[in-house]
Amino acid sequence: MYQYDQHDQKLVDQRSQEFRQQVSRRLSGLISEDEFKPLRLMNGLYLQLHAYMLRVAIPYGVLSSAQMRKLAYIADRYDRGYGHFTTRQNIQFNWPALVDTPDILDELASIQMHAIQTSGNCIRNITTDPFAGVAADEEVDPRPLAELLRQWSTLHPEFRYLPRKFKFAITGSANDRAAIKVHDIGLRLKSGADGKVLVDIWLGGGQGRTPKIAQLFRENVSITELLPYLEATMRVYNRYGRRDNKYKARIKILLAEVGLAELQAEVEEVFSKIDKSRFEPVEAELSRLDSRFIKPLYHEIPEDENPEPDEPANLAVSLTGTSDLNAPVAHEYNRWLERNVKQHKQHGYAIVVVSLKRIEGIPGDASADEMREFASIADDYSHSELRVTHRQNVVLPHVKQTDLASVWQRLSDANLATSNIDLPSDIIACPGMDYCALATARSIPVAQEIAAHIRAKEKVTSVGDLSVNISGCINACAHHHVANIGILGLDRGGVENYQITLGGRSDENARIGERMGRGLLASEIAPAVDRIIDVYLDKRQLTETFSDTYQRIGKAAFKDSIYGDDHAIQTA
Amino acid sequence: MQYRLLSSGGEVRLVDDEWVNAAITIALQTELETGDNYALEKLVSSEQVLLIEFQSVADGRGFSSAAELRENDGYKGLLYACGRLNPDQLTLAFQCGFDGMVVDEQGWVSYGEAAWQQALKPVVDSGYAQTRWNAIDSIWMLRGAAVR
Amino acid sequence: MTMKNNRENDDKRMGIIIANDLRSGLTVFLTVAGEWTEQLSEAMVVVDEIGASDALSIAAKDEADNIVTGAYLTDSSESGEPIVLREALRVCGPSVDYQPGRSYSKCHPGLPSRSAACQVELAYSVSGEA
Ligand code: SF4
Repeated sequence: MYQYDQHDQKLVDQRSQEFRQQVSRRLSGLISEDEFKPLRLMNGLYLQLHAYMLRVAIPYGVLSSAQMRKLAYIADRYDRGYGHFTTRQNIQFNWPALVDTPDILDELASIQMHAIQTSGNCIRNITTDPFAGVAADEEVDPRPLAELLRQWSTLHPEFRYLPRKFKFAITGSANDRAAIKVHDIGLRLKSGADGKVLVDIWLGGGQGRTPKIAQLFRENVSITELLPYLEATMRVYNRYGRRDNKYKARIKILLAEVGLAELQAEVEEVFSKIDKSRFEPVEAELSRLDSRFIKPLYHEIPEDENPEPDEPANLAVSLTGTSDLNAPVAHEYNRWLERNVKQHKQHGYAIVVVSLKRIEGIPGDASADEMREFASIADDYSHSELRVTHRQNVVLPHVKQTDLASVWQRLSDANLATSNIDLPSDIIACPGMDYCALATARSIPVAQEIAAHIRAKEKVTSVGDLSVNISGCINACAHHHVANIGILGLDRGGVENYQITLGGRSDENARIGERMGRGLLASEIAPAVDRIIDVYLDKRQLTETFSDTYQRIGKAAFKDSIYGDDHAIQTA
Repeated sequence: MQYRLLSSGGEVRLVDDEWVNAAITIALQTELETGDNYALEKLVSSEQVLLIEFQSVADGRGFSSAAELRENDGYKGLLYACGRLNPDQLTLAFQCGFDGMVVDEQGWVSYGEAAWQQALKPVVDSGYAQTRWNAIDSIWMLRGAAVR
Repeated sequence: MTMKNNRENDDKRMGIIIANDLRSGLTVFLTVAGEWTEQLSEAMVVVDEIGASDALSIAAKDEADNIVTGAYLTDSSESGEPIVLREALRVCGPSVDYQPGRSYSKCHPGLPSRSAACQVELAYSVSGEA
């Protein structure tokens, strides 16, 4: 966990005082809504379908238990007892009153949090691997650099009025869990030959109306050159990114229109003349940041000891008095170990992913009670630390193997032990028309119906990792373009209509999914998803993933399964 | 027409059309291929005043153009913003290398003198991680100094 | 001030004025008394162009006076239920329980398509039926 120093604290304190004045000017009528709107947006306050919505940044997805408790407190005291974790590692409160928002920002500042740059045409909250610093496959811990970039981009005077919003994602692992190739800029950290960190810059990825996979823009950038290089890139984008059409304003369009070589040449030229001393002392700062990430004091377990999680049979004994492996608890616990527990880099430890995708729940939502339970479990078993993932789940990053059974029991008692991580029912869904003012259709009820429909199948078959994402409009907040099964809600003549794309993926081999055909009614979606999964189960070879199978056999079989017999007529 | 010339020292001076016309207004280009018509060789040595126009409060190109002119092109002369900036943005303009701003009557009246005067006050807080032409130490410099 | 009017061009249509309360942000409706209410049942239903323009000018004044924000006229039934899905959801609240068994829906304790209170055809039924 990064700990603020006086400078960081001063910034959030000042910002919240400033917003208090702005709100009071608005309430007393000194400024109009037109003047106030950009000010509230700069502090993450939107006006949505039913009420204001406050989007709070969770920088690179890391939270302390104290912060999680405060979020619970805010949800209870100022909202309606729950919050929504988003695909950008933020949390959204759905019902805050304008008059309360200055107090909420004060509460946030008191625990080193804020809502700065969670909206507007600026550099947004920087996201990263939810397993940063703990993943067994990690090369470089991306958190210190993510914090460095947070500081660099916060209130950057040059980049507050960009052509459009700008999103960074960082990974330090070859297995990309941060979807860096569908961000405006994705950074892949590697460890170089002499132990120094090198960075590959991927540029121009994105979703929305024109989905694009990022291109490799510059390889092996050193840490000292990284900030000036990013600044040069942002400067070129700020000057030449399109401002005449907001759908063409992202950097992916500039890249497509100008071409990779020319954009690289322009950035190189600007970079060559940038005064690098402005960024000093960046290496010292980075090592300071590194030291301010207080590392958990792991319990050292000798290599020759191999503590295993409690056996399901033992658990069954302690819970039911019998050692029946078929006892439901043993079975549930076993499934949970299989799906929700990931490999830790520290010997004897594990990463636990807590699913916020209860079948009947709202993807990404957590109640205040649940948030408090996360905090309490983190205090007891995870060095008081939590993460939120871009797949809208919560992570307990440092759990001892030998504590797994106890953690499972705590979660299970709180109805938080859904064992479906990365399964089809672990659906990413945006708020859609139930909350979002921009939506063209609802996402949540459709997600719930799909989950209910496929849950049984995913338990009895070995369907394995398969992503289903659903967005309520073309803005694609749920990343449906890069889901194995993507669903986009549209409005056709006043009726919700859903388009399916297949074969997308957001990892290191990112791909945009292919659109199938005419849209479906809401009631047709869950059965269609079910049939698509059947095709995959039927055709896959050995350990093929969904996208492997899709690449190999192509669109036709899947399309047939969606439209059945009338497919021929539809495409004729 | 009368304009107010606001400078980073806090000075407010009245200027007229003649003054504005004598300055060179840089036309910002939207296409990378064409680039901005800086005519740099002439400008860098020039005694003249340069203006960069902001076409709307959402159009932040001028911030980067100023930064580029100062940092990449080494322009040392006077540089003012003009057009549709608001008082909050004036602070950013100083940080990006502007000496100040030319405000027309409409802008002066609609935001009010008090807001502009406030914006001209020396910025007391830091530019956070940024250090720029307003010579404020970045938090990184402050931390470095504290360690030494 | 120009006001948004999302009705189609048909002066036979009825409508209600929707806005957000500036302080709370909650959805409110203009009443016959020229006040704002959170209760749809108290909303004034405008039936003709004159009524609509009068109502919109009250709304514009209340926006200028910083009481509400983002006011507009939307199509409704005779008794004031919005016609368009988005507006129906706006009026009714989210169509999903925020927690199992707990809902903020105002006019349908269950789900919108099953509700008689909210006379809107939402063209969709949720969970468990398919
Ligand atoms: S995808 Fe559309 S509906 Fe969903 S949250 Fe984003 S803007 Fe709203």
